[in-house]
Amino acid sequence: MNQYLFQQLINGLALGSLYALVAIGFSMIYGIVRLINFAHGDLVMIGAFSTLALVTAGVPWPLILVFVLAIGAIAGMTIETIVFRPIRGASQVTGFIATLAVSIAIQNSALMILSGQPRNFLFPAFMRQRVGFGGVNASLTDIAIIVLTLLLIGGLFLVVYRTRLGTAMRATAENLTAARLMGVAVNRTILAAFAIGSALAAVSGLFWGGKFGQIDPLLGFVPGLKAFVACVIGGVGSIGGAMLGGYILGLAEVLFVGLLPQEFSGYRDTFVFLLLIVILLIRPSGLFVRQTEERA
Amino acid sequence: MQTPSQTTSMAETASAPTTPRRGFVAAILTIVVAAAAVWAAQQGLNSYLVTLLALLFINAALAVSLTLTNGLTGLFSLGHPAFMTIGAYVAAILTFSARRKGSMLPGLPDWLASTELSMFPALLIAGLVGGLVALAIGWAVLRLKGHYLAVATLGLIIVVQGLATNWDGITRGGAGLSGLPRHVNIWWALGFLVIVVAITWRIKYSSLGRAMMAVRENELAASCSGINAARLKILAFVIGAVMAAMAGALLAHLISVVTPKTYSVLLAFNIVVMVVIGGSGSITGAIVAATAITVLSEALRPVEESIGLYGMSQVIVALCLIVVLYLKPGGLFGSGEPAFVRRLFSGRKTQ
Amino acid sequence: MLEVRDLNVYRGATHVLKGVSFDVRQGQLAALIGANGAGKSTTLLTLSGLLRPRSGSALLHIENETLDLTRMSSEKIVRAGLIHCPEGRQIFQSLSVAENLDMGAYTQRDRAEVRRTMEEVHTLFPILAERANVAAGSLSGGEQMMVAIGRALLAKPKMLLLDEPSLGLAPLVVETIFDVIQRLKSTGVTILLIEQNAAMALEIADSAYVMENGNIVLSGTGKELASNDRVRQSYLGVTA
Repeated sequence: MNQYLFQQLINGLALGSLYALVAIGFSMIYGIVRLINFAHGDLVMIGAFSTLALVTAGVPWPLILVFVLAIGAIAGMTIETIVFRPIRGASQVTGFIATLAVSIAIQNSALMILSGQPRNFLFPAFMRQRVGFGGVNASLTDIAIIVLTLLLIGGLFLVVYRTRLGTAMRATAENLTAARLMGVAVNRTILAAFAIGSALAAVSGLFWGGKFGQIDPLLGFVPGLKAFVACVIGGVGSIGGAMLGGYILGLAEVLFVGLLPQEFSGYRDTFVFLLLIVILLIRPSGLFVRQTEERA
Repeated sequence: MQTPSQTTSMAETASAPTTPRRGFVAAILTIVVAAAAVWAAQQGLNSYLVTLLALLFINAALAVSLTLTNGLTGLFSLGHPAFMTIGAYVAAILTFSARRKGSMLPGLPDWLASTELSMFPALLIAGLVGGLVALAIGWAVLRLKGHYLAVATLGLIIVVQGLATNWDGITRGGAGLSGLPRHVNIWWALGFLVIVVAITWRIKYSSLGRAMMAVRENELAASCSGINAARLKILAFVIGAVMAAMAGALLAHLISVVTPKTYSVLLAFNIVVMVVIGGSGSITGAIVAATAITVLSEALRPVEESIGLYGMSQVIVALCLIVVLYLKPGGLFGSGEPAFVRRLFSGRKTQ
Repeated sequence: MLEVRDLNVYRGATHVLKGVSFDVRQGQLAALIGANGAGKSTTLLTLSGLLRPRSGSALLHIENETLDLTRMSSEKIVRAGLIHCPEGRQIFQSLSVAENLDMGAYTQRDRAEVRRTMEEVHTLFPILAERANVAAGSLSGGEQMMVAIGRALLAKPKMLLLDEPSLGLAPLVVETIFDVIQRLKSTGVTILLIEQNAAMALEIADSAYVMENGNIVLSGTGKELASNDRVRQSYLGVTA
């Protein structure tokens, strides 16, 4: 295979992995409480800065991964308990505005504490080397991101489709009242969805820092919005759809930048959101979902 | 004592002003009082405070214009900053001195590079362009509902920002356009606020406004009673966008600079906060909340700077919003106007 | 077994249940009949903890314990053995039939016991075993009702609340469902049944209550009410 093409493919898959991790949580939370959670992207930022703090404290990398998952889960559960649970049952727009408020509060608290100055963020040196496969090579960081993401997603699918908690989560997402009548402690199930989704977003923050080498308090905003785009591509509320949407978006972005002349690369985000508007118009329930449910 | 027509809330929103002249007189009097206050402020206050007052007027106008789209018609649009950016750039390109424009913005066609307009025509053209863009976008995105529309319009902000940043030849890229002529002073801001409030008020208490509220409450039922919901939604969206584009143009010429990031998502959030805290659909509420939030953030700014905690005022605004959503989800004034305001301006006789 | 006393329930500003009192005795089948909007479903939702009453109590006597349902969370009520099979079936359409039944056993810890109950349910409704891995939403209305009842059985009910089990089903299927209800009763499960089909409900009920506008207006045995003139006119469609 041609090195340039291979490089683009790996790059797109790594970027897609980041989007997929954020989008899956976004979709889980939407699926279970019908809330477009704008603060979800900010967990990416929290994950990135937690990693930086843990690295500075000298914690070994495998442990950092575990800690970041835990920090994300705790942050997600805290937000759900303090802000979203009290307004549950209010209108969709009220919920949406509340998540926007949480996002603004998190971003600005981070600005207050960390200042707006971008920080350097480096994976250990061995992660930055390139590894070759028969004539082509790729950065170990990208490979690690792709592989670890697949492992995490595999684990998630096991939880969601093979455990009691997962069945309860899917049941609650579909019919909250009936789930309560089965004896499901709905609040705990919702909390679990927030915990899992937020943990994945936080890990994506760890990867984000490793891939781009710089982090700042506002870095979560665009991935948050793009997670929504990924969900729309795959059909909002579906975990598999969100994952696919994330990969498609990552590859499409890299393709867009790679194929068009240099001077268009600044239009990357413009392209993503035009894509969103076009998809919403043509197939509002996503590319892979039968057109049944009204998007209300 | 009240006349019978005031006893039901339906009659309140449904009846047109019964004695227009009295409402008109009240409105004129209010404007005169406001003008006198502005004049006094100009005499007594330093230029920073006067600029702040102008900013407050424009913020209030923005909140009121969003009331029309979000409150009355129930379209949850976050797209205001996108239209403000469009309006600001259009007006800035038109008013910029023709001598410097050619070299700074090489992408401009000759006829534009040699044009140098005064504020008023530039403002009208900015509004027109904003409206036309809204018409094109609205046709596409207004079929979406609830938070889908919200995210699509949020995406619109990013699209417009991307264009402003990358279309160097026309916009001068990320650096933005600075050194704009300071055409706008507090009188422009006051005049704009008055016009926006007057138009919104007239629409709210007309059959058009009632049709918009019908669409908000139940689009299907509204359509069944012969209301063209699609056209009405586009109309509300376009009117809101025209006002936003003009506000963007005015602000740019007040602070004499516009960059792709001047009107950001944060601004969209702040305007929405004003509308939600005031009560969706309440003009009085929008003005009161815009005043409170503008003053609050400005008052906190020196505190922020002295202790080095930038972002604190935004955190406080966001927390205030969450508390309001929790305690009073309908906002301070609901979707109506407080009784005394209604009585004053709709000109009903009171005994 | 169940002792409902002076229950007052509001939904929003509407006073839906206005001091409802009734009893269901251990091992009996009680029927609650009444027109649409009389408050029957509200009664059941209150008993299963999904609605909170403004005042009143609902005491459940199980073994040597007495529990006040109005103070318990829905999951505790399910654990106590009061199972609510809701109106409109409310099965999980996107989950498979087997997963739906598993959800019924959500509160059950003893896996061996769950497997035994699962076999019983499969004997009762063999179609559910055949369709175990099919999405429940693709089943027919009658089969979905079987899923709903099977799901309730897997929760090991000591008392079962059934809300309109015959709604929208073909007459033949209704027969099957009523057969199953009677069979359940014979195994000692106490049942509170809401039915539009008052004739069938009164036929199998030990005791029955008529609800109108949020009040219990008549009570008696199933046979008594079936021969009551007022009931015959209003609910059985018999002209006097």
